[in-house]
Amino acid sequence: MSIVAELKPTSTFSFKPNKHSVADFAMPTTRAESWKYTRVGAIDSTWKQAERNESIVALENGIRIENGFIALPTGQTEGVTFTAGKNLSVEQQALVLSLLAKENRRDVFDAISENASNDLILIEIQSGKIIEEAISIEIENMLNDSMSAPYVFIVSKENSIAKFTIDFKGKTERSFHLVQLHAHVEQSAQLEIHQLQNTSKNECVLLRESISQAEKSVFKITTVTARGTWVRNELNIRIEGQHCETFLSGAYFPKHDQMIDNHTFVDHQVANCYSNELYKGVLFDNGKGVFNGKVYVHIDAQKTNAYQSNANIMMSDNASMFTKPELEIYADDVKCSHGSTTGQFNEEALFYLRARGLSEESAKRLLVSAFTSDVMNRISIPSWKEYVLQTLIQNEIITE
Amino acid sequence: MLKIENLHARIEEKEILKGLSLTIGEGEVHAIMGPNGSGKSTLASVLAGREDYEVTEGTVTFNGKDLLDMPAEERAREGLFLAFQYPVEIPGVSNMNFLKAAVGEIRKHRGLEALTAKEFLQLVKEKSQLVELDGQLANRAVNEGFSGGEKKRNEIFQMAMLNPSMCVLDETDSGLDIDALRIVSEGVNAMRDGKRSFVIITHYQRLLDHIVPDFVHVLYKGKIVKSGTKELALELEEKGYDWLKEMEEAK
Ligand SMILES: Nc1ncnc2c1ncn2[C@@H]1O[C@H](COP(=O)(O)OP(=O)(O)OP(=O)(O)O)[C@@H](O)[C@H]1O
Ligand SMILES: [Mg+2]
Repeated sequence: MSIVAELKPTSTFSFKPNKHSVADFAMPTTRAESWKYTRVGAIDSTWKQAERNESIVALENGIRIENGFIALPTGQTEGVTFTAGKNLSVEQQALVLSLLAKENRRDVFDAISENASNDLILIEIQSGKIIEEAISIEIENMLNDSMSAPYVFIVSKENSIAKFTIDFKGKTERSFHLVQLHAHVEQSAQLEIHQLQNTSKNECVLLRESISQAEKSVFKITTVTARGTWVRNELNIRIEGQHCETFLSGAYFPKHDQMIDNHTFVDHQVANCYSNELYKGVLFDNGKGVFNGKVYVHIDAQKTNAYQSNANIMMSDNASMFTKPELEIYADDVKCSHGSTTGQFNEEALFYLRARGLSEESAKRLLVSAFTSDVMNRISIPSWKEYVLQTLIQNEIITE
Repeated sequence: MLKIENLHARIEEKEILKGLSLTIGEGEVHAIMGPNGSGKSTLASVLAGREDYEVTEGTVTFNGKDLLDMPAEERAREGLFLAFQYPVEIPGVSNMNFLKAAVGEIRKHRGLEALTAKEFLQLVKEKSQLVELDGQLANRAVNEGFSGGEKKRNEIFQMAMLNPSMCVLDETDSGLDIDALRIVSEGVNAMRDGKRSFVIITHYQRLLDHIVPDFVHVLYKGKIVKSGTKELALELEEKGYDWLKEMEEAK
């Protein structure tokens, strides 16, 4: 076990009651069910940790997370409070711990997060507030061969509405993002998170997101992975109150030797909820994709409506896709469906477009954007959608 | 303009075109008729550059260039247009975006300046009126959910947008109601300018009443077995293909 040369608990808030020792856990191997298709290889390395840098250039309207250290926005947003780890009140500390306690997974990476975490932030959307502007979070590593391990906590209070954008950028030759996000959506609140991962060539990402939803809440998330040498997104959604709606969507485009893994878990604990999951992938070159979508419907979760769909297009004979839907349904009066497809390009459509003068390359990109358009249409912030599409154009994945 | 000589083509080991020759001059309209399965669509596909077909013998020159050497997109940019017998539905790709890209590529190839957004919209308006294509259809995904007749009109609309010099229409008349047939024919006739050439594949004399051809050819078992003027189409309408088939078998 050599993830970090020396774990430096630089965080200003102690995780004491929950803190685990890294030494208590082993690195997962492909023998473990949830790591069957994903080797930890690329991230099992010796990473440096950056020193706290007080000169991070904070953003006016957003949060900047640089090398794992968090700079709060310089401006104010009516209805939102941002609290740095060191300034958490006793109640806020209890809140953060209660969010952490909801996640029952504990493994080596959680232990590393707990011990190595650079920084944390708690974002509270005040009850009844409608936040018009999306709150942006920018995540970037600047130090080669380093690991960053920030924690982001979001609490959407009752009847509030807010949207976040999370932008994973990349500047380093090689580094590792170990990011934890824990959110709770209170009764009748609405929370949306739209994220883009476009880290640089040899950056690895392990993103762990744990969301819980109270009664009548709505949670929507989109995750577009445009680039990343090794990316694993773990999204766990606990539906704790009735009459909730949950939309989780993603699109991933592994090229070259990139590996992109999306592990999702929708835990329908109570009755009368709706979840809708849509993940799409286009795999190039030697790219590898993993989709594992678990839906668990508890015995009391009657009238659950849960839809899951995963579709993939293989652009190369050398690309590989591993899809595993896992539906565990213990209630009898439910509507659940899942479908997964992995196929080649529609050659007829490709020929049609070329016969009208489009080059093979631009015809393919047009078809790729068509294929993923339903995921992109779930990005409800027009400027963000445009930014995501522009990024995909720059990465030569789709065409204008 | 287009010269096909001794063309042999096959698909999956099956020879379909067996020595087809045909020359189409500037501004001419040639109709190709022939029984089902005789190879008409195969000819159209080979001309347009579909890669499933293997050309085993023969040559095709288009404006002096070797057509068979060009990928499909280059043929289109050089001015060849195929209106498909079965236009493909492409969900998620908007007709407009697709056409904008196609027009852009073709103009670039021909050394023309890119159209401004306004000019492009003007062109769309003008050409969709030509085939009375509902403006809404241009905004939808390519052919998705279009009726059979709408798909065919969309083909002619695209043809008008791309301004080709050699148009191959594969059974554009099938699936059209009487009014649509007239509208589409008028659209095609409006594009006849003495320079642009047409190959019109059809089963019915009816279309040729509207679009009067200079020449009519019968394709049978992968070859042109008879050529004539527009009167040949009338004769076929009356007598069917049996007499030609018998003549061919007797050889
Ligand atoms: N992929 C294929 N594999 C095998 N045979 C094929 C394939 N595609 C076409 N053919 C055969 O080639 C022959 C010619 O087909 P083609 O579509 O060119 O005929 P056509 O003259 O256009 O007929 P129609 O009037 O019915 O449109 C037919 O016998 C057809 O079955
Ligand atoms: Mg045919």
